[in-house]
Amino acid sequence: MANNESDDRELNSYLNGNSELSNGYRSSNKQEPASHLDEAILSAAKEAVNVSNNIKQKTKAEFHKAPWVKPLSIAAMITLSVSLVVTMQQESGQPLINEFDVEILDSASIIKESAISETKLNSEDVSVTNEIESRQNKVERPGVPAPASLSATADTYRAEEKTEAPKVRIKVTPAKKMLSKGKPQFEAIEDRVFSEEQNSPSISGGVAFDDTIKLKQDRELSMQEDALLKIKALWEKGEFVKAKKTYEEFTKDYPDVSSESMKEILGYTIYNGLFED
Amino acid sequence: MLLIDSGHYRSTSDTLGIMDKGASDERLMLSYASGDAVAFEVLYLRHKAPVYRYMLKLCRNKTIAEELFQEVWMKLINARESYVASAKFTTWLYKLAHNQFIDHYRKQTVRIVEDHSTEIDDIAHDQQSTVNPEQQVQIEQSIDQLTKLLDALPNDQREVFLLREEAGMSITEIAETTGINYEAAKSRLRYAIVKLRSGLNEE
Repeated sequence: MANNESDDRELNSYLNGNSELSNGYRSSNKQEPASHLDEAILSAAKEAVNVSNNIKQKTKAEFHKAPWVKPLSIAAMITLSVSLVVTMQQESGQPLINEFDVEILDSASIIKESAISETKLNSEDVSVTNEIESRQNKVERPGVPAPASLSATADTYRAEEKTEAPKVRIKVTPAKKMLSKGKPQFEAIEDRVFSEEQNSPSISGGVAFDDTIKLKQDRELSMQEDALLKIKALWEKGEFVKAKKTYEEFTKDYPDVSSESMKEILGYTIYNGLFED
Repeated sequence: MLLIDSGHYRSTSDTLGIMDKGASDERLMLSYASGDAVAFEVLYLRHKAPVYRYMLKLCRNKTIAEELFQEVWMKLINARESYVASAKFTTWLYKLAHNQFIDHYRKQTVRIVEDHSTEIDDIAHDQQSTVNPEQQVQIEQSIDQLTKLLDALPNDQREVFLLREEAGMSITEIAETTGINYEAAKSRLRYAIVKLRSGLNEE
C-alpha cells in the first residue's frame, strides 16, 4: 500500500515534469534520422502531391474535353430551370398548366373536331339526299314508281338526319380533383368550352349536355364537401368562432344541404357544437 | 521550396511565415492533404527526431528503426487524404508508428537483434564529441546506464515511456495511441518509471 502511494507520487512528479529521469533521458537522447532518410521522405511527399495534382488537373481537363459534357450540361440546366419554375408556380398557388386545364382543352378540341366532321357529314348527306331525290324524280317522272331500295335509302337518310345527333364526349374529371384547382381558372375554362360548344354548328342541332351538367353537379357537391371539411378542420384546430362563422356562411351559400349530410361529414359532436354558445 | 544542399534538406522556412512557426500540426496536415508540399516539410521537421528516437529505442536496431521510420512517413504520405482534423496529429502519427512497430514485431516474432548497444554507442559518440573527456565519460556512462535500463523494460512499458518522453503525450493520449485503456497506460508508465529510477539509484 505504502509502495503504491510512493509509486503514484513518483508518477505524478514525473508527469509534472519535475523528474531527473526525464531530464536525463532528454539530455542524453538527441539522435536524428540520417539525411538520406530526410531526402527520401521529403522527395516522396513532394512527388505524391505533384502526382495527385497532375491527376486532378488531367481529370479536370479530360472532363471538360469530353463531347458529352456540353449537351449534358445544357440538359441539366433546362431540367433544373423547368423544375424550379414549376416548383415556384406550385408554391405560389398558380399552376402553370394543370391537368384539368389540359383535359378541358382536350374536350374542347374533341367538340371542335366532331363539329367539323358533323358539318362535313351534313354537307355530304345533303348532296347524297339531293342525288337520291333527283334520281327518284327521274324515275318517278315517267310515271313508274321508284325502286323500293332507293326510296328506302332516302328515307333512312332523312330519318337519321333528324334523329341522330353527333355524340360529344367530354372527359369527366372527378369533382374533387377539379376543386383542388383554382375556381376562377375553372370558370374561365368552362366558359371557354361552353362558348365553343355554342358556336359549333353541330351542337346547335341537339347535342347532349348530360355529361357537362353532371360535371357541374359534381363540382357543386365537392365544393360543399370541401367547405364542410374546412369547418371541421377549424373546429379541430380549436378555432370555434371561425368555424361557426364559416358554418353560417356555408348555410347561406348552400341552404339546401341536409343536416344529415352535414352530420355525416362533420360528425355529430362538431355539428352539435356549432349550435352551442 | 525545398533546397538540397550537399545531401541535406534545407527548409525555406523564411518564406513559410506563419505556417512555419505558429500553424498547428492539424492545419499543416490538412494543407498537405490539399496539395501543399511545404506544409509537409514543416511537419516533418517538427516531428522527425522524436519519431525516429521512438522507433530507435523501440526496435533497438538502427537499420530496422530507419526502415520503419521511413515506412511510417510513407504511410502518412499515402494516407494524407484520409486524415480527419478531429484527430490530434501526434496521436495519429504515433499510432501509425506503433502499428508499424507491431507489424514488424509480429513478422520477426521475437527476433530482437542484440547488437544494438554498439550502434547506440556510436550515435552517442557522434553527439557528444564537443564535450571534454571527463564529462564525456560521465555522459556516456549515464547514457549507457539509461539505455540498458530502458532496454531491460518490457516492450509495452518502454513504449509508454517513449511516447511520454518523445511525443509529450498525456496518459489519455498514450492509451489512445497504443489502443489500451487509461488505467493500463497509467500502470505501465508507473512501472516503467519505478524500474528506471530504482535502476539508476542502484548504480
